[in-house]
Amino acid sequence: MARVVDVADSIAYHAGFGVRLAERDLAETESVMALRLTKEQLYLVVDRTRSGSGDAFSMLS
Amino acid sequence: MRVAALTQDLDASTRRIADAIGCDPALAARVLRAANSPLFCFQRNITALPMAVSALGNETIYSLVFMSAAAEAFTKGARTSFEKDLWEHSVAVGFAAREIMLMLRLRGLEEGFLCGLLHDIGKLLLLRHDPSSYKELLKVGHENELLSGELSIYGLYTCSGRSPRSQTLESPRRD
Repeated sequence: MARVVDVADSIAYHAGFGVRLAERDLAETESVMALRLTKEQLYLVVDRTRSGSGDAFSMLS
Repeated sequence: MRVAALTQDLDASTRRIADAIGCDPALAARVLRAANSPLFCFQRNITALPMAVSALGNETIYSLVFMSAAAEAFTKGARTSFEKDLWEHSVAVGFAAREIMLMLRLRGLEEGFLCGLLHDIGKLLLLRHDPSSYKELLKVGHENELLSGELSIYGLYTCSGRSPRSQTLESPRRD
């Protein structure tokens, strides 16, 4: 689970929901390699997070 | 918390859980919003709590109880735009974690969402405990420096699953 959250954290930054200035290269982290996620899968999740987080905001606000 | 306990009770009926949710108007509204949210893609419009409980299932209701509490913690009394950004970031991490688990066909989607949602709760606590110093610390560019700073100032760090030591020794990052 820690790996999933670690990758999700980087994805949130890349999707434009960051709280700090610098972040890591998305595809080069230890967690991405451990989960065996491809670049295509990562960027698909980035797109979905960008478009789907609005629904989550309204659900939780 | 009564609702969370009921969702773990195999003998608790949908009606009993719905009645307990109904005692908390904010939670009831969130459960109905969740049941009608595109996140869950149900075909029909869900207007009653028992229908929502039945459609979402106990695991999702259990997560919603904690999500609801997290939403309160992050948004109630939020004083700065950083706190709002932190909330949006946390929701996005929860959403991304759920998507990753779905993609990898891992079990526990709601648990994944919840872990993502709460992964930075420690930052919120430090920010409210010591706003000026922690805000300065957050300006450092690198996560490792932030974690080391937290450790030296507060004697703890707020990450989940990562530590400054393991990052330094096992997987140095590219700058």
